[in-house]
Amino acid sequence: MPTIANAHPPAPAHGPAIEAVGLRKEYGRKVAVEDLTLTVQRGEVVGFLGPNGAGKTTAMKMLLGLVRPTAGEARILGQPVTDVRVRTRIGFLPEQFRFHEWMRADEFLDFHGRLAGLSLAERRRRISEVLELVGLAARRHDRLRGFSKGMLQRIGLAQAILHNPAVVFLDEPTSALDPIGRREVRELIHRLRERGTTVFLNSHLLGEVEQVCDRLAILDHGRVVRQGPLAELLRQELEVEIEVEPLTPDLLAALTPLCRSLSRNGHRVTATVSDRERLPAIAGVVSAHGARLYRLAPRTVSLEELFVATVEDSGDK
Amino acid sequence: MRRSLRQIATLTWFTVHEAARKRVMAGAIALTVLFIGLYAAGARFGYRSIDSSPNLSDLTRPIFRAFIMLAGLQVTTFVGSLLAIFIAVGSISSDVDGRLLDAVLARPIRRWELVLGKWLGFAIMLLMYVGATTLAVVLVTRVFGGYWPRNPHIGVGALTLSALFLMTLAMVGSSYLSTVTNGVVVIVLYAVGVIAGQLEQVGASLPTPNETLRTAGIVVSLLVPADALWRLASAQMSPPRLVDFGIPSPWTSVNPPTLWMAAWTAGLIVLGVVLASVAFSRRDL
Repeated sequence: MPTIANAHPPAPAHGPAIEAVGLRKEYGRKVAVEDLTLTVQRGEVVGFLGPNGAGKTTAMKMLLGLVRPTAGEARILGQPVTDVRVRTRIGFLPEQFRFHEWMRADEFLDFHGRLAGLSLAERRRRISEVLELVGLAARRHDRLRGFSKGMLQRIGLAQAILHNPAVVFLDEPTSALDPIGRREVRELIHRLRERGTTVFLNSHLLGEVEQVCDRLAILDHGRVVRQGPLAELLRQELEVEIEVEPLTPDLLAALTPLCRSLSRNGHRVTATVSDRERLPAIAGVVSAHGARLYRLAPRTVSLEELFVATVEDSGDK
Repeated sequence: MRRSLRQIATLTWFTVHEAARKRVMAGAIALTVLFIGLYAAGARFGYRSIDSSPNLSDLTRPIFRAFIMLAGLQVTTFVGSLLAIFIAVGSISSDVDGRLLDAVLARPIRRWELVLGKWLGFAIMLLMYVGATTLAVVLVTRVFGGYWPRNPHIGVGALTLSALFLMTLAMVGSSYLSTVTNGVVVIVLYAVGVIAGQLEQVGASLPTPNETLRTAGIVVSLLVPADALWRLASAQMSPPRLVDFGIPSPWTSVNPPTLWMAAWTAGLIVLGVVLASVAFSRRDL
């Protein structure tokens, strides 16, 4: 199996990989991205989530310098993204991957290798390596016109990692892939992470994000409504089942301020709380009301529940 | 600087390669070869009957001899003009709309480098096409009619410049307009340029020259100098007597443009590349 080698020396190891401050994009009166402020450290794999139309692709294109922001600033590896030099260290797989289909797979990669500034020897070596990596080695002399959607997505991935970039932006990288292809891409992302590459993954496949990402940013209505380390975010959101006798209206009223949400079903209550420290507090309130506590069972929520709760929450505001 | 040159060269190579692979010019080249064959046959008979006609004076004979070559050049120039427009008409808009540039422009490449790289690629193709076809007509005329134009280098240069201008105009349009709209606009501008040039000739050759027609023609020629460059080329490739002839026709001119028109057009082309670059730099992908 080919390895991901170091064609470029690592960048000075200071400053975040991706930094956006107040990025905003208006198209006429329509605001596509209201305020994108986020920081991704080097070597992190960050999942960028959001419902359809939240502005994810526009946000990503501003980070890449493909869309000019109305306001705000984007920096990659400490440099403004408008500086072309920093773009030698960026890889990008666009969402609607459309490539020049008159080219052969190897020509296509050679073209991108040249644009990325790779020498002839580097291109020769890397083209073989990445074709192997995405499982298209046997098709290197075939025209892209004859490629299936899945194969085009694979060649797009090959193009994105061809020059061993320090930061890779992947916009829905598995949308056209079958389950095996998806697993291969997950493995590829793991390998990129092992190599210290920063990966910015835009995906609506929450399972995928949960498996590969260290960090999460959720975009809704053009702003980042939640971001942080994935494990921490999932830990923050706890679902608790409480069984208590007697469940008086007074007790219920006393529990409500401790919980984010609360629903009653007979003498059971299902609540979400922000952290574990709320659990003893709940037990305290129950005993202070003279009620008997039969069950106080916390359960970590899934990413899907977190995502839905976050987006619904931001939609309500 | 070196990086810029390398990126521009890559895109120029890419543009030529794409046109060759997609056989963009194949149809035009095949038809042109066919036309030059027909022209050779026509020239052979045409020159024979001109040279054997007892009714032509020594004054008018060279004029008719020039007309045959100019008619041939007019066809290749027209095809060259359309080709120039069509290769560049979607050069930016269709690639942007087709989302073909997202991955390319995330690379270390500036927008103007892409514009210039593509422009150079188109220019190389047009230089080859217009140069080869114009030269073919001139050589065929020499072989079958024994006619050699006065200043063929200026003629070929002016016609090439005209094609480069139309290609640049289409590229500027392509950075602002959608492909179809741009195609319509550029063809209309080209047609207006040609017709205004002809009206200018009519206005100038009336017994009392019509200043309105002349001025309108000059203004349009300055904006779309395709017809003016054709007149420059035809005047430079005709005998001096024909230039003084003073009747309006597609092949003759009253007061043909000078070489300043060529310099002006070169300036317009540079301005066009700058405008296309600026417009494209402001465009969101």
